Amino acid sequence: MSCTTRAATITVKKHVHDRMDVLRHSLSTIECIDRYWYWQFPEISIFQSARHFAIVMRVRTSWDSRCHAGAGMSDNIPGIRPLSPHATIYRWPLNAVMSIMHRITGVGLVVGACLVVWWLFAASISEEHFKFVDGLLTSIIGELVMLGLLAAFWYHFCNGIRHLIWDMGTGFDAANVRLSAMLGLLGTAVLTGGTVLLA
Amino acid sequence: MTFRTDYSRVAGLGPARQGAQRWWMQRLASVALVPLAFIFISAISRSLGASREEVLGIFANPWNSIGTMLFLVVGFMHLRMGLHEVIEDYVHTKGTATMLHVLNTLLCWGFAVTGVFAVARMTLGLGE
Repeated sequence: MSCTTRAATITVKKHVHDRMDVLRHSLSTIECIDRYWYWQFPEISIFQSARHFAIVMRVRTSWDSRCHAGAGMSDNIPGIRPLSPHATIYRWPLNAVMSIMHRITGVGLVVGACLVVWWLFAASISEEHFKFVDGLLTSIIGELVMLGLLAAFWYHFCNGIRHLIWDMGTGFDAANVRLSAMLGLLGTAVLTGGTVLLA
Repeated sequence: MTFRTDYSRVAGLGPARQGAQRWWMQRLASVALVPLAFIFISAISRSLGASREEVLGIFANPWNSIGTMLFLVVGFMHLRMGLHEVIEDYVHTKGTATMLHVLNTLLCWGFAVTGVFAVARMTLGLGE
């Protein structure tokens, strides 16, 4: 901020302070509760309001601490800005969720691969060894784990195909990314359901 | 016309000309895994929960056993490269990262070879 005269500096500071007040006021906890802010909107569920409340609290904490830190050096106007991006505050776009899920399912499938190899090994060695491992994998907990791994497998498969398409240099615009995300999720559901039905 | 700095010429360091190698290998493995995934999942989903005789019968079929073996080899390659990237992204202590890379490589090869050995044993009728 390059303000040469004292008057200009004061104006800028006042402006920033006014904006801060408006922001703080509009996000104030007291307002949310006192005016029954949420209850004016019957279409907002209790879960959404709880989530909003949590976000308000986090934003306020972050702004308050920044303002406090910036109080000593009042010329440092950028110092009172909130950090960006707030991964914990903003709603994640679908594609960001898909992206991190690709990595999570990939790491999860390591466990699946090792379990399947253990099972194959047991089947090739002896009846007793096979009975033990097969019993583990086909118990109720085992079935649930295998079902989760199956869904993770097909998710990673479908999202992997999206990546291969992107690697060919197409499909980067928002509409296509959204379309392929939806198709990927649909494909995961269909392939998982199909495998369970055919198995 | 060279863009290299004097320092880099003196140090003799530079690109190893393998910049895109890992990226390319990962894509290659992914493409191979697309058809193999269907063979693998079909063989495994039919044999999970079946009796041992039925499992041996399924893997006596060369289509199933070759598909599964290829899937295991390429799958564990893909898995090792993927985990390598994850370790590089999240582990910032050099010693720990190196240890994890070693562990990752050894375990992936170990499991891949064990899986291939198991399927081969069943296919060749040595499992009875």
